[in-house]
Amino acid sequence: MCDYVVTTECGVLHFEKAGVMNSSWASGIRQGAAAAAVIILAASGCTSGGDTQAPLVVAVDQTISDLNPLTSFFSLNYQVADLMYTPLIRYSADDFAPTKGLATKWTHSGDRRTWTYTIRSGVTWSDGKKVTADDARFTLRLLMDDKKLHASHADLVDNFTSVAAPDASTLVVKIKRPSSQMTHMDVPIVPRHVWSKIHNPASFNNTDFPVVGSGPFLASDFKVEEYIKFKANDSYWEGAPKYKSLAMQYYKTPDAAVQALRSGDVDLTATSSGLNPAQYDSLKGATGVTTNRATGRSLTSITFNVGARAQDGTHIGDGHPALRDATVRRALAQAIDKKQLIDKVKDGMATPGVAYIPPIFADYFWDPGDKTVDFDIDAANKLLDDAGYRRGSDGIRAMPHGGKKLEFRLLYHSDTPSESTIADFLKGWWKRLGIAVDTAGADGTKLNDTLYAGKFDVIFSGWGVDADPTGILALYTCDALPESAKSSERDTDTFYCDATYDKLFAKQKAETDATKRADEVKKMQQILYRQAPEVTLYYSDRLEAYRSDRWDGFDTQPAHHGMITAQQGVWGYYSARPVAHETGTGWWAASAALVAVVVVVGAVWWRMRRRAATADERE
Amino acid sequence: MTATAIRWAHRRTRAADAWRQYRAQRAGMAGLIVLAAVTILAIAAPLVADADSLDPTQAPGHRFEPPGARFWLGTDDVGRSVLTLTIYGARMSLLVGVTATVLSVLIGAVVGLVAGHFARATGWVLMRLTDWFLVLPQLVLAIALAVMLGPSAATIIIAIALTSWASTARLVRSATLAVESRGYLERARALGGGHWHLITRHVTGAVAPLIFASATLQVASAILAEATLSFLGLGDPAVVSWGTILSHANDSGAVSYGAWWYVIPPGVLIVAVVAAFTLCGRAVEAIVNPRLREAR
Amino acid sequence: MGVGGWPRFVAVRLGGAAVSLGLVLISAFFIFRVLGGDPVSAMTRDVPATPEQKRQLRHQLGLDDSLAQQFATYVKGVFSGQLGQSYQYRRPVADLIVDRLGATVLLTGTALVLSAGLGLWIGTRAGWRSGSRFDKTHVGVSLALWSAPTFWLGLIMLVVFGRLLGWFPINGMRSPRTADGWWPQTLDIAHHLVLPAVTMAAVIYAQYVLIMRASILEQRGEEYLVTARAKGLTDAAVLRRHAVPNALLPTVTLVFMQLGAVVSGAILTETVFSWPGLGQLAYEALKVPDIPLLQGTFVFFSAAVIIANTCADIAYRILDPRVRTS
Repeated sequence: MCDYVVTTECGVLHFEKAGVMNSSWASGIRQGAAAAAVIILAASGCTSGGDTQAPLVVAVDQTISDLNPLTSFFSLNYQVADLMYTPLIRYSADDFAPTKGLATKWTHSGDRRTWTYTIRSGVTWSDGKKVTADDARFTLRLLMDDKKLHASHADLVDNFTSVAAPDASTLVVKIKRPSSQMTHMDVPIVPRHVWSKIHNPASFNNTDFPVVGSGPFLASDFKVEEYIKFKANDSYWEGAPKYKSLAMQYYKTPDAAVQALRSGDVDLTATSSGLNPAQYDSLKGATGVTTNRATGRSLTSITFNVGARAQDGTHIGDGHPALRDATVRRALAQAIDKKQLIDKVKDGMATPGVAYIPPIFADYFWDPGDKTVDFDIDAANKLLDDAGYRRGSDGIRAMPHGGKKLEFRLLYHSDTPSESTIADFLKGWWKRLGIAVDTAGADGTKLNDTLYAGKFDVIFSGWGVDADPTGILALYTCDALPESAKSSERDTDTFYCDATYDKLFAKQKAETDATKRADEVKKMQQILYRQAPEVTLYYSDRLEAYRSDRWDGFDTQPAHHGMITAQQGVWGYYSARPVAHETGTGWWAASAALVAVVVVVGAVWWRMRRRAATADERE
Repeated sequence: MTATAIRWAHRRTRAADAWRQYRAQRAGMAGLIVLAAVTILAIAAPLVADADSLDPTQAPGHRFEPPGARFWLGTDDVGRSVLTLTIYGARMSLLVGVTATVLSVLIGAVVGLVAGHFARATGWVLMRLTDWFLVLPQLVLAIALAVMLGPSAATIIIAIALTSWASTARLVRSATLAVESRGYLERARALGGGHWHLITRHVTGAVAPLIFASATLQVASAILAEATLSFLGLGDPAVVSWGTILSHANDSGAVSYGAWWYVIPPGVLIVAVVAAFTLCGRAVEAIVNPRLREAR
Repeated sequence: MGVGGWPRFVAVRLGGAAVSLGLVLISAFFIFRVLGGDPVSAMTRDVPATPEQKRQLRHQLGLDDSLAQQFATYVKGVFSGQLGQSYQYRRPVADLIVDRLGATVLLTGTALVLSAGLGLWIGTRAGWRSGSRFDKTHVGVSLALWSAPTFWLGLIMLVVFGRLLGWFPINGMRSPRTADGWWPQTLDIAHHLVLPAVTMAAVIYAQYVLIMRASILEQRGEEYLVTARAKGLTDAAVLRRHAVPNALLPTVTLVFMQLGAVVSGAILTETVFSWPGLGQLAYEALKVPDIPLLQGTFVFFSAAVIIANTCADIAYRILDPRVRTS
């Protein structure tokens, strides 16, 4: 039973927002409804009083169709995998540094081609069986041997020559070339005694509840696009979480998620691209809600068609020839006012883009310093003038020697509203360069098809950058080009190919000395910045909000200005702690209010109707 | 007087007569005034508001400024005046509404005339097709067409026209049947008038007022349909129309933010213009079809 | 009606409906297969696929057959309840439709009952006392509601009652933290239902007012009413016993004729309020676009409207003896 104070609090919660209306009529209804709420609450006995029992309800929006940890594609897949399975090496909450997971120690041989991982002892799967090096061996072998799983992990396992588990606590991996990836072994390790019985692991949904895992939470129920429910793993090796269950609830629009947070249906927003600035602002100062503005790890960029071609040299698509000229690309980049974009589109909640790696990864972030290209339309115009791109009578420039006019197609994702706004901005600036832009939206599928067919000039792109930059930097290597005009690998983002860049890429990949590697990564970004095959517009801040009247203690990543959701890892979910008092019965008040309103309105209406009827008869 | 002159004089008196009848209907006049005001505003938009300020790079205000002395209706999410947007939006909304209606009425009139004139097999087939289009949920068909044709203003016009011609066709067919059963057409036919002659000279003239009345009503639905399809993201977002403004407001989080000034003006104008077209249409209908007059 | 008239009439109507349904299939095939182009590239968007794999997939799906053959396969599929596999849900479209049907029936049902009750009552009063202040106000209100885009009305409701006043939830049909059990769950759903149902009812209601009003007006001029009055019945009694029953029949028929508008209303209302029904399913399909799902909802909605229409038509003839088969 709850005491009177809490009951009133439950009842009042919804009606404080009704303060806009001041008439005696409204307050009368309000009082009546609150009274009704008290009655109903008293009758129901407010049963959900316990605090650790209440679930942490998280609003999500990314559609995932299964819970298979080895076929992760969307960021939500990775989150689910990390909740249920501990990888060998995790990314620390403080600064993304490699940190102990199932492996407690990792060493390499002199030639850096043999890596030995010591597996933590005393860890058990949720069904009580011991976690051993053999589970890790089994998982890695699965990735090497299963045809479909191999495809999604090729970058890692193609370098493996052998994987062995000489004893229960030792895993030995031999590789062909030295690789920095070996200190980022974040593959989820699955239990052999469960997965060896699965006929086709690549199409396994992993929905045999309760799921057997080694992470802090284990999936207990799943309905596509409705919810994913987890139960706390009491035998989690780092200690059981401080609450019993976690529920990811789907909200199709971010606005709805925001409203649900306000009304108390949801405790934490974890939508894929975070809140937008308007939603974030609207939640500031809301009762019981705390907002969190974190440095993000996602970037928004535009890429140019620098001359689409295949590895065998055949030309692909119909990109504008002027964009093969780095001068034109530089001029376009210089005519983008990143600061204004951030002010207007992100309400100031982003960092101007430089060259791919966001400043959150301080080791790899490259600051151009005095070489920064600042917004300057005149300078950009001069670049084009000097390069011989003259304006025609209509004010549109043409390529030197009576060539093609500078008319570019700009393609954006029709399902990302901010991109169409940015496209309007770009159009406005580039018009002042004497460059005409035709903007068009397309859904993701069509956009990618157009990209891979090379039938674009300028196209929007965006990535969530990992702590290990190899994946994102690989997009600009010659290897990313399709093998031939007919093949359909989908790796490249812009058809860029540069020998110096490639050399640096291979070097950093093999480099196990962190400082040297960071140096090489910075040099690569310098090339990208100078050659401008893409322009990184900004790194969005990650905007989130949670019910601080119910939950606190979220560990952020990184420690300073960090995010709670969309982490590499699940530190935020694991560390959450219920706050002492409980107001989760708000719906009772709302429903009671509804009943009260219906009854009152009905009674009034009925009386009026009676009166009108008698008046009618009298006529 | 030549025959042509007589015909013109006759038409003039008929038009004057119709106008007198129209003026007598207060609701119809109110609708007409609203329409005239909005049309003038749409045409005069460049005089009232600066088109350059629609370019977001030259937007004069800040994000989501509430209504005030500088921006009477506040600003949108990139600092453009909502008033300016709404005024320019009128152009596209009216243009799409009217173009789609013209196209739709053209299809409907041709189908209806042909079905009425060639009453046998051709007519039967055409009418079954018309009935089918009448029953089909319009929005569902329009969505299907718009998705497959890709988002653009032209797509929306085509989708609206293709899904709304059926009622015109029905109307025109029954009117055609009525006209053709009159004596003078028998005479014309007896005198050797061909199909083409009959349709253009006699039938079209007689059913034109009916078509006009139904077209006026249809502009109302077309404007609603434009707003709806744009809202669903099937329009060209680079074009400013009332529907795309609302769609943009919704996408940018104006609802969460509580930026009511961004949501209300375009909607109110849609309501006003749609209601105005409906009132005008009903007034015209009452003149063309006197039986209805008492009922309205 | 003569002997054998009924079966013949019903057969003709059913035949007509069958033809209409056939047309729906043909148009769906035309719009989504012929206009839509190659579905294989959309299906393989998340996974790298070689041209060889694509060719194989195309063969599996029968996309390398002739159009006529493809159509035959397609029709066969529809009749065995197979509407294809959704790209985004990776589940059979038919299952998804069945899953979502309940929510839509609940929403549209509530909205229809609300709007029909209120609309017919107000329409009757307005028509009976045409020209009165009641008539003018309600015709004005109805006209304004009819002119408002459904989604906009929904947004306004959402801002006012959801955001500013906070009286009602604005998303979906259930709250995640509602206690289990029949009573709390039902209350919770009812609470979520209020805004969408009212929004949808507001737009449909306007139509019913206008139709019922016109229908009553027509009845008012009929001679039998004069007779009834001459018999000494009060005005209210004449209205209740004679005018309303006679005006109701054509109105109800028209109501069924307008089911297409109800479908549109459902799509927009469900979209704005994230109501987990078929309308939202259609919206999700058009956003991706998820062609098989879009096609499934198209076929389902069209077929539902055609069938409802035919039933109404037949019922009308049975109920109203004055109508003759034409």
